This record gives sequence, structure tokens and C-alpha cells, in this order.
Amino acid sequence: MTWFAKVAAVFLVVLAVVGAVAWVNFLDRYIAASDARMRIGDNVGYQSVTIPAVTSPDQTVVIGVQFLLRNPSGIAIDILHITYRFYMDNLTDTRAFAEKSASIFVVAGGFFPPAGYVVGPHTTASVWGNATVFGATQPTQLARLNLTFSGRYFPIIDASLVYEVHGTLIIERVLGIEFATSGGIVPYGS
Amino acid sequence: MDREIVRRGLIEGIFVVLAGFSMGTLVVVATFADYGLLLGLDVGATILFVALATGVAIGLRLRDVEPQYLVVAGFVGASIAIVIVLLSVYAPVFAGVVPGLEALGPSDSSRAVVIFVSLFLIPLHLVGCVVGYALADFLAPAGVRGGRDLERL
Repeated sequence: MTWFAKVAAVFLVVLAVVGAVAWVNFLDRYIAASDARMRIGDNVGYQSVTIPAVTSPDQTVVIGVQFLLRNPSGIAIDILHITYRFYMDNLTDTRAFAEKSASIFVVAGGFFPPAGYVVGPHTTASVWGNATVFGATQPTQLARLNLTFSGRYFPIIDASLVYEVHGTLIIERVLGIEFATSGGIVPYGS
Repeated sequence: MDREIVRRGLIEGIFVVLAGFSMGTLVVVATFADYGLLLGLDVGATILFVALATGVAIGLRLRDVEPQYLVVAGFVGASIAIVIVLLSVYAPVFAGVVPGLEALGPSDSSRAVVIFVSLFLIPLHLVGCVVGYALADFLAPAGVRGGRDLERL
């Protein structure tokens, strides 16, 4: 065998080893990231919603929305932000939500981690996204918020999640994470 | 004699498979760079380099075979690479985590384009094979050159 045939053989073996290592790493991440993208949407929801009792017309009200995010995949994800629109349902208004949404909208809020919030593989995260209504400057919003039936709030929340598959450039958005309650929420501090 | 030919054929076959495997894996890794992989490779440069370089290597090794076998080896190597690209693109589907690539969105279904791009490996790899074959003839000592020695005609 000539020297250049040996050099060619070594080159092919080295290239194949490098390719194999990089390929296995790629397959692992590609499949896990695809799994995450398929399943995150079904694994994000609400854990609790807290709304204080409104006791004065210039009160500053902080609404707390606790989101629960399960990561069932084998790769971590970074929550870039969760945003939501907070509505307070008016049960006497029998129109469809799409028709009355503008009149019952209260405030927008969200969870905005400065550098992403990492949710590890096969773990669950619970994060709070707050929204604030300043009664002194937002009397209309405060009036819409302070609407109870039998002493209970009936909020409707429409949230969206933007996340990045950890260590990649893949950014995904989950729209239409909706919260509505039939039993209502008791104001805390009342 | 026949046993020696079979042994040689098997050895060279392994190297053809290695060449195809290298091409396929590295082209896939370069194409899916947004998955934050170990290697950051430029797609175009990778296709050019890896197809030509492995072709030259195969050409160097198959110095003393008939040219038609070299072409067959080139086609087989490039075909293996294309199969690896195909399997890799559809890996989430085969793994059962997505029903189809379109489920990952239009940008992901367009990744099937990489399969088309990988077809360019065939001509590039064949060119590499021919270059390597000629280079081997140039590098080989005069006494062991292939059947293109005019004195032997």
C-alpha cells in the first residue's frame, strides 16, 4: 500500500469519527427540541390567580397570576417572557367574549425574566406574572376590575408564552393560554 | 487470488462507506447549525470540502482499479450520504415525537430542502474521486503506475 493510500485511509477514518460525534450530538438535540416544541403548548397553564379586594377608588391593585410550566422533553427551555391580557367578566353581559372583550379588558401583565428563566428537562416551573392597576390614574380599569358577583371575581386571562430551546437559536411562541373560571375567585383581604 | 480480491473489495468498501457517512453527517450538522451543536460549520463550504476531500481520498485509494469501479464507488458513497441526510431530517418523525415535519411549522418543513441540496454531493464527490485518481497516478512511483503508461501499450 502506498503512503498516500494510508494517508487517505487515516483521513477518512478521522473524518468519520468527527462526523459521528457531531451527528450523535445533533440527533440528540434535534429530537429533544422537536419533542419540546410539540409538547410545551399542552403543558403550560395556570396554578392560581390572586386579586385583592378593592377598598378605595385610588388603590393600587397588584394582580398575581401564577403560571405552571411542565417541560416533558429531554432538553431545557428558556422562558423569554409570558404576557397576558387580563379581563374581568361581566356576567350580566351575555355577548360572546369576542364582542365584549374590549369593554371588559382591564390590564396587560406578564413575566419578564431579564435573562430567560431556565426550565430543565423533565422538570416543572412555577412563575408569577404580575399586573398592576393604578386606581389614581386608571379609574376606568379599576372600576372594571372591581366587578364581583356574589362576592367573587370572574377573571378571564389570555396569555402567550415565548420560549427558546436552551442552547439553540430556536424560539417558539405558544398562543392562546386561556384561563376562565366558572366558580369565581374570592378576593383576598376582603 | 479471488480471496485477495474479495478482501480488497471489502476493505475499500468500508472506506467508501466511511466517506459516505462522513459526507452525510457533516452536511447535516452544518445545515442544522441553529441547534447549537458541537461544530459550527458553513453549509456551502462543508458540502464543497467534504464531498471533494472524501472523493480525493477514495480516488487515492482506488488508484489501481478500473475507472468504472471508481465511478461506482463515488455513486455509492454519495448515495450513502444522501440516505443519512434523509434519515437525519426525518429523525423526529422516525423517533415518534412529531407526526410530520409540517407539525413543527413551515420553516421546518422547508428543511426538507436540505435533501435536495445534498444531491449536489454526487457530482462533487465524483469530481473528487477523479481528481484523487489522477493525483494518485501522479504521485505513484513510475513502476507501479496504472494502465495508462504508454510504454505498456
